[in-house]
Amino acid sequence: MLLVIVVTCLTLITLDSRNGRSGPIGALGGVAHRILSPVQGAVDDVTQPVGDWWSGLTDSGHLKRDNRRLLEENARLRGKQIQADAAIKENSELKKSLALQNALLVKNVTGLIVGRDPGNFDPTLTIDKGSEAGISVDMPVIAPEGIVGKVIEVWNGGAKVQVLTDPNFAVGVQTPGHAASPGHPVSPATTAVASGQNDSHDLTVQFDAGTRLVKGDPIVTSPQSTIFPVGLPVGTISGISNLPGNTGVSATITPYVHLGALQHLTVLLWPSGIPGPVLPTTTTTTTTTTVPGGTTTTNPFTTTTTNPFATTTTTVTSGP
Amino acid sequence: MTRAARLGALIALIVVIQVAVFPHLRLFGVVPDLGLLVALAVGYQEGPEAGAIAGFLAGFGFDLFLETPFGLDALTYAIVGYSIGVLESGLFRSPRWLPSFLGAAGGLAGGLLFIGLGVLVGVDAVKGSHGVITISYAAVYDALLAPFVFFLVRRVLGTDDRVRDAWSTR
Repeated sequence: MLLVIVVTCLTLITLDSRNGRSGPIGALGGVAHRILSPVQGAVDDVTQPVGDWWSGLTDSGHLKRDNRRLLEENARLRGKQIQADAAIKENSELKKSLALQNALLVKNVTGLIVGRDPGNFDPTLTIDKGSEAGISVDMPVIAPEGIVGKVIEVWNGGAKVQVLTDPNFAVGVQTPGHAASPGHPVSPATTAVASGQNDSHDLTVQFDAGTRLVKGDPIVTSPQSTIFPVGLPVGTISGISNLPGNTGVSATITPYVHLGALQHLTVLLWPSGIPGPVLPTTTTTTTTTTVPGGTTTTNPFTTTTTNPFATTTTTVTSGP
Repeated sequence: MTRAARLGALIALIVVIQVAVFPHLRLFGVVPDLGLLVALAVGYQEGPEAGAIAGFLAGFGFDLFLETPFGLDALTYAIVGYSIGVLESGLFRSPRWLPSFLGAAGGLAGGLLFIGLGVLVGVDAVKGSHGVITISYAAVYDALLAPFVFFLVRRVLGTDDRVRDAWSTR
C-alpha cells in the first residue's frame, strides 16, 4: 500500500513540476479554493480579533515594554469601541486604495484578503476577486504603499498572490540617479533584479560594480521588468555591502508594504510586457514672461493629480 | 456512518481548519501541521497502512492550497503515518505524554523529510537554516496540539483509549 501511495505522490509531483497548475491538478486546486474562499472569508472575520489577541500573547518578549506604553495610550483611548476602531482603520485603508485607483491609468481591481499563507513555506495571500473580475496569472499586485507581488493562480471568485518576500519572486528594479557631489561623480540610475529571501522579509539585489547607493534610496520597478509596469515603488535601500573582489554591490531592500497589516490589495489589469506608464506624473508648469520695459510676470499653472508615487516638474520660460 | 467515512470527514475538517483558522494563530511565526498529526494519530491507533492512507488524504487536501509541488505533503504525511504505525507495534506501554512526544518527534521527522524532498524537487523556500528553524518551531506547536488531535481521532474511530488503559494499569 505504501508503495502505491509513494508512486502516486511521485507521479503527482512530477506532473506538477512539469506542467505547473495549468492541468487537471490546477483545476482541482481552483475548485478547492472556490469552495473554501467563502469559508475563509467568514472565518477571517471571526478569527481576526482572536488572531490579534493571540499575536499579543505570543509576542510576550515585547509585551512588557509595549504594555507600559500602551497602558498610557489606553487611558486616552478607553472610550473608543473596538469595532469603531476597526471601522476607522478599514475606512482609511479603503480611502487610500481609492486614491490609488483614481491615480492609476490602467483598469484595476481591489480585493479583500481572505486567506494568508496556510503553510510554513508558502508565503501567499488569497483575495476574493478572480477571473470574473478580469484577473489573470502574472498580473501585478500593489498596495497604496508599493508593490506587493504578482498573481500566480486564479479561479472564479478568487486569486492567489505570490508576495515579494517569496524566494521565488523576482522583480526588475532601478536605483535613483545621484547628482555629482564632492568625491562622487554623477551616478546614473542603475537596474538589476531583486528577489525575496528565505530568512528575511527584505529583498536582496546585486548591482554592477561602481553603482553608487545610499541607505534610504527609493527603489522602483525598472523598464526591464516584464511583470511590473515601470516606476512602481518597491522599497528603500536598507543595507549595502561590496561583493568579494569588488565585483559588484549587494544591497538589501526593505519593502514599503507591511504584508501583515494589509487588508486589501489592488490588482492591475495590465497584461505583462505592454509598454507605457500606468501612473500619471504630477506636472507643474511655470511660465515666466518678460515684456519690453522690464516687467516680469510669473504665471504658475499647476496640474495636480493624486498620484502618490511620481512627480515631475517642468519650467517653461519665455520672453522677447 | 462507517469509520472510514467519519475519518474522511475529520480529515476534510482538519484541512479546512488548517487553511482557514491556523494562519491567524501562528506561534513563533509558524503554523502547526494538523494533517501530519492526523496521520500520526491514525497510524498509532490503526497501524501502518491506515496511517499511510490517512496521511496521503490529509496531505493531498492540504496540497490543494499550497504552492509547493503537488503531492509533496501527501508523500511526507503518508511516510510518517506509515512509520509511526510500524514503530507503534514495538511499544509495550503508552504513557499519557506519548501523544505529545509523538507530535514533536513526528513533526520534526516529517518536517525534515519535507525539507529533504523539497530540496530534491527544487523548492527554494525550504533551503538553509531557515527551513530547519521553522520546522523545529512547528514541531513544538505540533506537540502542544497532538493530545487534542489524538483524542479526536480516537473518538472518531471509536477505538479504545489505549493510552489511558495502559496508564491506569501501572
